[in-house]
Amino acid sequence: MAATTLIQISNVFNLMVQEPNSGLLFYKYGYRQEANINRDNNFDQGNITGELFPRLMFEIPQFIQDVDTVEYFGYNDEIPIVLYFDDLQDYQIDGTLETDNTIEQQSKLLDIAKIFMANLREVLCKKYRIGHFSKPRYVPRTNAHNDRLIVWQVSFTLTRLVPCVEASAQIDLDNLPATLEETDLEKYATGTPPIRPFECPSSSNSMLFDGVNENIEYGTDVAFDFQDTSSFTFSTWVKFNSFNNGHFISKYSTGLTTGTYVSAGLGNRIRFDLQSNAGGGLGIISVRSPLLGLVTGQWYHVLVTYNGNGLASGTEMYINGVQITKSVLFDTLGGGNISNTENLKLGGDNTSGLYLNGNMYETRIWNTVLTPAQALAEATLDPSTGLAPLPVLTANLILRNQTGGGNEAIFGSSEWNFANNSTITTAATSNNMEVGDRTTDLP
Amino acid sequence: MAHNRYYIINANDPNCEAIVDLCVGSHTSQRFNIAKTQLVVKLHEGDHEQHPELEGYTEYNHDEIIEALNNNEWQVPPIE
Repeated sequence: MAATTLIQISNVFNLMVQEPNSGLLFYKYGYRQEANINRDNNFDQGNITGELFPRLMFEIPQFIQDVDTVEYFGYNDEIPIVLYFDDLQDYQIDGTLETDNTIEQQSKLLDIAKIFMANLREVLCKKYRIGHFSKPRYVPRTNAHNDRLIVWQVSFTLTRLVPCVEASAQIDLDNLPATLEETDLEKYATGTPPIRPFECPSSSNSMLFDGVNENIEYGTDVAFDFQDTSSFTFSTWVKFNSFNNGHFISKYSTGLTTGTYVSAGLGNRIRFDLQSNAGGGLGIISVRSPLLGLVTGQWYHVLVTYNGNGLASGTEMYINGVQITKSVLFDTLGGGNISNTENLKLGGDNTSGLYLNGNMYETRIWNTVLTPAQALAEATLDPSTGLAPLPVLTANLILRNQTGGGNEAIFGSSEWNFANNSTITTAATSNNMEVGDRTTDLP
Repeated sequence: MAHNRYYIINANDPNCEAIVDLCVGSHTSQRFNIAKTQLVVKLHEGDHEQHPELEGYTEYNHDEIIEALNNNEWQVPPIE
């Protein structure tokens, strides 16, 4: 048997937490001991969205000082392990208000913990043959720092001495790697996460923006730093409560007058802009949909493309899948770069103070130009579900925000956190939004 | 439709920090006017308390705050 390190044990926890049926959303390595190592959540590089619940915490044995290098069985054939399963009162896993009382929540968390431990036993004993462990001891705990935290402390002993106990498998063990490498954690932290499903079902909720101060903001990623020579496509369902020039998709800096955005304003028109102040002169491509073409209170699918040619002729605009005759307001970009350091935002742009008063649903961005046929397919709801179709193109998909999606939008302690189900893993967090901003209003 | 209560408060209000703590969002997420002298905040939906920190400030509903912010003090209008 190859030497096993504690970090490999931790990797097993990490991989298992990421399994869809684990019931857990977050894993942290190192707990309550300052000397221990805090690992970023692998769902969320850089830990941008913060901790999610229910979560698993691994308390490293105190006598281990250097967990990266110490061989687990080099120290002892029996190592006590303590795990903490935590959940937060008030909200369910999908961010909706908790309907269970605290006792019921505690009971459900215990079920998650027991299923996880049963699977862990199977993984450690049978799949990786790391060792066996004693019967786990489950103890409810309180947390002195957060009295809203529900905690189950689970302690057990990893050993080679007791026989393995069979367990039911709730998790599909075939999804875990066949062999466990010491670098697994690092690999997932820097590479493509093992579960990042483009194909996860479209959400059955939309997100309501108040037009005042609410938006969703993505972390910095070079993939979103569009240039005047970049090809890209913005796509979303949107419903307007007023036409107030709100930037519903933007990568824009008013201070620099640089970037790109899609808005809806004067004359009930969609407007698509690329702007640059390179060289001190303002250059703009600005195209608009026909005058008075839209009404409030109605869902539209809006898709715009730009092919990187530096001209208004390089843009196209589709409403409900139909390519429209756009009017050109400006065509003076003249090779100016639209790159800026602002974050990509949905629902409002704080640099201009122009916020969407309305709903958004299933926003997607590609780093290529979608064809008219693909634009039409994107705008066609799936007849079997009545929801948005799966993305027509996954290879160049750099953003898929399942705005308000039950499975990929989670309400944290005070804001919504969004995964990006695309080739890019940069996640997003809302600003000034509440649980009630997720609605069942759909196209 | 949002049912929150909105307020426009002065950025130099000594109670500013306490007011933001009462409201949705964080100190870094709030929206300021262009001059950075005022900020718009909203109480959590369902908060019907009369907070002494907000005494003297005008309360707006959603439609009213949209109208109150629809000017060049709060927005950079699109280039036409």
